[in-house]
Amino acid sequence: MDEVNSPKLITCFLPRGRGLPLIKILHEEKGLVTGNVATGRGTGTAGTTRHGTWIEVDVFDVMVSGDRADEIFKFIYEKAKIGEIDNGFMVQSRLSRLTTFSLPEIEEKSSEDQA
Amino acid sequence: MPQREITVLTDVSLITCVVQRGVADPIIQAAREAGAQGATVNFARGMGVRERLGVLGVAVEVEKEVIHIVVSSEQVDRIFEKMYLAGNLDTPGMGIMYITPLEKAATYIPPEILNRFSK
Repeated sequence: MDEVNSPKLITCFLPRGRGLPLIKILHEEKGLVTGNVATGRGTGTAGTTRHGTWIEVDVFDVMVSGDRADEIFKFIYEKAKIGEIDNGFMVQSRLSRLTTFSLPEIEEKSSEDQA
Repeated sequence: MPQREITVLTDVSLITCVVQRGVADPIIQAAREAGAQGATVNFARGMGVRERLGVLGVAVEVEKEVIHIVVSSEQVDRIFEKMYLAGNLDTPGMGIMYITPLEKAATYIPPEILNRFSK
């Protein structure tokens, strides 16, 4: 079984609609394919929403190896503008084990095949 | 371009609580009364307990609500207990909850608070 060294889980609680674009950026710029997004509702007091108000959120998580964790954490922080008001928050935790995951090779169809 | 600094929070933990759909609100209310600042809820579906209860399993909702709350390590045990009691998690089929220690957390920190800690 192929496993990742010192795996970490980075979880972000973002305003709705921000999760999928973040997955795309992580794939294109960092080569990551382990992102997941779920939709939920959230409430908090740190932002401009009234205390206790529910809003739609994207719960995004990505699994990385330990040696890339700080790099990816900082990257997500900057791309998602976590440090600015009303942009959610993110956490990092340690995983006991993580298997490797890669996407299968799929040949691109030529325009003739698609016609 | 100068490097921006990230201010992270340490000594924080994530409480995750999986309960039947529709019963999250009193648990979240209990957490907030105990000091939690916020919560995130999403839906899921689960299996296990319902299948083992036989006829009584019809009383256990397959649809779940998953509650995530980030709290400081000082508060985590107190909030964990309050949530447990509010959700009646000692009753079979009512749910499960666990704590994940976090290495770090990041979010918006108001400038006045940031300045207080940077002195």
